[in-house]
Amino acid sequence: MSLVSGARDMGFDDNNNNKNNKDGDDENSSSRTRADDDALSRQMSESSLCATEEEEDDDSKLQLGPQYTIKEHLEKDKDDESLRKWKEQLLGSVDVTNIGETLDPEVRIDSLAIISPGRPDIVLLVPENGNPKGMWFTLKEGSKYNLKFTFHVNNNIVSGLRYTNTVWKTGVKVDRAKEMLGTFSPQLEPYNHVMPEETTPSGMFARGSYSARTKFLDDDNKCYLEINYSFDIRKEWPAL
Amino acid sequence: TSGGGYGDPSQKIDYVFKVVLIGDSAVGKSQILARYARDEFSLDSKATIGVEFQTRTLVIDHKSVKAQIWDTAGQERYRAVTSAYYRGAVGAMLVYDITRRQTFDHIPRWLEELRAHADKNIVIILIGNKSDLVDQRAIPTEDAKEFAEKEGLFFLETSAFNATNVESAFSTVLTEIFNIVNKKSLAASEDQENGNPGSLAGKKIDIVPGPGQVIPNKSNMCCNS
Repeated sequence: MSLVSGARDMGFDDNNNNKNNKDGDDENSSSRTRADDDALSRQMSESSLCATEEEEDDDSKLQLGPQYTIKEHLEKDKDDESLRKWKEQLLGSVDVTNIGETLDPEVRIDSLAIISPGRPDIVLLVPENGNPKGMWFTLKEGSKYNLKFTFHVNNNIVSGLRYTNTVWKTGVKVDRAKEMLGTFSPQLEPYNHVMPEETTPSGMFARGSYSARTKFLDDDNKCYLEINYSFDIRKEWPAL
Repeated sequence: TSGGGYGDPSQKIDYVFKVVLIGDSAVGKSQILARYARDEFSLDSKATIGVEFQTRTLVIDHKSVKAQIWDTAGQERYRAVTSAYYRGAVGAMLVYDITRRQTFDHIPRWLEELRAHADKNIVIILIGNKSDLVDQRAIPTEDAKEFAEKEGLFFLETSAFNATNVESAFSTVLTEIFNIVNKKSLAASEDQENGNPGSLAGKKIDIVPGPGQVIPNKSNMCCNS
């Protein structure tokens, strides 16, 4: 079992332009063919992304259409007034007069917050290097909480943004969670996404310190952030 | 049909339910919608405000319900179906093509995204379309049924080509939404002696149109001759 050692390279992965030299102009070919090509180039690129262990990956065979820049999106059917307006709706508050020509979306995770009823929110800022020092936070056993992510999306639409979290206790993997956040257009304002409610484990075997790895990935398994950190679960919340 | 057909546009609308169609491209989403809505309002909804939805008004339990059904207009091919598409949706039709395995294999991905973006009480129906193509079937009905049960979805196989089950698919979703909202409405009226459906805003099922969901008053420009 690979425990979180400091040996791994982590952090932002954004300049990893490993994909998307492909098929920008093949809208006339059948979607089946395009999807297949896409899957192929994606498989080849995946290995270079988040440097990690055996991720689960039931998702890796997902076949999506090609990615386009915002500019290409809007130009593609520009003579169709209705379709153009529709795309503007889907893009939300994108400034269409100053539109992106960058293919790769930039996703910046600003903070993670732990929201537990009756407690002030624990707001965790993501350190520059993605690696918080020491115990990042302490939770009380048997507490209900929601995670809230605040993030920015720039340059292009991010498709199928999701969060994965793996937790170890004394070297043994005890939990792995995966949750979809969704598909987001670039905008100036941050997005806030609240995850479904969870409950911290309790009991003498549950208390103690844990290590964890959180990642934010998209449909192509491109990794936007990887954080490795420690936290603990105690009988009580820490004093305020 | 269940109170179906076309409402009189001048009549009062008690509820507007936004329903989204999702699934891979070429599974027949637009055809299903065309079968159901028959262009009740499409003339203006698309061209003037650029929203790819169609509407159909029906009566459930003496209430008039306007189904506002959104279509992706093929944008899923380009990964452009964003959170804006799902905002405010209280129903969803998750469509695959029974003759193409890949479209069924993608359903969990669509479902995850739908659940991430939409109200948690959204009513979802899984639809295996093209049921007329019997000889080319790749997905056994049982497999889809099992998946739907596991995920708590309604399920039907449809044929937009020969209209099989299209009506029932929509009426299943709309009636279920209506029941949920109506139950809340009853609960609310017990609370405050006044079951004004407008007061449901902010409850679990959000029937207030979202920002992307402009509903202009079209009754003066349409279409019921």
